[in-house]
Amino acid sequence: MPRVTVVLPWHLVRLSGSGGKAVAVDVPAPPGEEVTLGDVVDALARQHPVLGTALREPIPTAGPAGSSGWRLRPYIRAFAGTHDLTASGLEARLPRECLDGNEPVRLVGAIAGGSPGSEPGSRKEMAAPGE
Amino acid sequence: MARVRVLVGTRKGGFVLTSDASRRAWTIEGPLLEGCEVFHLQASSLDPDRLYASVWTPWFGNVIQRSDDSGRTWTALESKFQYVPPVESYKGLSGQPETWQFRRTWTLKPVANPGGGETLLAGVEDAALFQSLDDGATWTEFSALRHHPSHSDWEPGAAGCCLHTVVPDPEVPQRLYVAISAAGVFRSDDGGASWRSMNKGLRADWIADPANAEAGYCVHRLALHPARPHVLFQQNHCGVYRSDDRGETWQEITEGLPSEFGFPIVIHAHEPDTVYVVPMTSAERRYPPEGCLRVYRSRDGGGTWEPLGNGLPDRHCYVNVLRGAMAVDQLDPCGVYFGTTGGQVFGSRDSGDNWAILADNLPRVLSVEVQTLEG
Repeated sequence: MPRVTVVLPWHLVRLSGSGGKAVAVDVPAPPGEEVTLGDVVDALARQHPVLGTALREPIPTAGPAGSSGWRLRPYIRAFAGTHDLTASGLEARLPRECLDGNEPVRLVGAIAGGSPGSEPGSRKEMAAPGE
Repeated sequence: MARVRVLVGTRKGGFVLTSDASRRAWTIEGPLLEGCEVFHLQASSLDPDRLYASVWTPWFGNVIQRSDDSGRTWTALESKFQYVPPVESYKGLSGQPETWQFRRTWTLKPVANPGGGETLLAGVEDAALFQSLDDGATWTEFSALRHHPSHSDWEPGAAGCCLHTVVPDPEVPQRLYVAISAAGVFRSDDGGASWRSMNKGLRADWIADPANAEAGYCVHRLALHPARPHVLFQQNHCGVYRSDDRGETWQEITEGLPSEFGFPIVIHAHEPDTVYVVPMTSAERRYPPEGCLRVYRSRDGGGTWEPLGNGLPDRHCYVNVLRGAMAVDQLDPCGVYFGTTGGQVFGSRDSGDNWAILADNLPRVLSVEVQTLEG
């Protein structure tokens, strides 16, 4: 079972209560199998449930199911070493270096932009909170 | 000797203002949960040291935080708000259907259970009501509300389609009112299992036939007095209203106010007919008329209104007071408190006759709650 080191920003460290800048998670995957960013976030969520809701959100879908899985929150960017995984979202495959423990996965709050699923400039983002 | 604690949620953290019963000198602690929007900072109904905070950041979304030591330390809760399927659509701003999506928690309402313990209710955006029976650890939806037949006519106000006010009936534990912008007031008489819309008599300038529309009303805040729970007051986008029949019908009581628009409405702790509002110029401008900040008080249940301004800015004041940013204490004379989008917190220790600034230069104030503590 690969052990992946995830480097988290200050807000998420505080939410997780882990006390350090990085969290190590065991990702259940048979040897040689692909591991995705979603697998890592799932493992993080099992270990620190609040990180599950802080890093991903349900994909809203009208109908009986209510949602069709999860997506990375719009303003979170994910890196494997220096590789930007954000555009591939939770489906992104982790490189071997991360699974070998030689490179961490970094989850960062975006300064601007975000994943293709974001709505920069939309009404929801621009509305004054509480008003 | 009693103490008063004012819980202030702001765009950049929470603040706690504390005074003795004289309410002359205040200490300010904060920011708590710094760096995050504290949309609502609320105290448990059972344990005065237990606080709940609805916290939001654009990056990491909505997290409910709980403190058991009056805000010194916090525990982040999982905060999983999942709608019960089927998930449907409301009327988006463009008029096109918009699928319900959880965005944030607007309000937290702890309610003491008759048999002991506490239920924590949460009003959220997109509009829905959730409850937690384990101090905020897990949440379940009262889905009958969101499945109300009128739901496709619900629409967002300027800040989204939100359930912002939860008002339990203190006499009838199974009765509960909620207010949704812009849908209206809904009442449940069976503990949330079913809901009726309570919007007869309200104006809604954007609805073609408001006399027959069940929903689409922009209620900004709802209030009742525990000593007279069949009487409700609401500040609406289109006026101020009173209901004497538990929300079945509404009568407009705007006459005497300088504007029909405003956000908060609160009731005096000991006088069920004394009501406070803070009029704003209009929906477009959202600042005090002529830049002169005034609280308006009615002592006859909305029959007449008087401006209260002693100690409030007389000119060049262009702040707003948001719907959750006004509250009263339980002392006699009653204290009244409100926060502004300019970061001021004002307080009156004589039922509104005179005002003092308790805190200035805070971040934009999103919510104000008050605890009256013994000893």
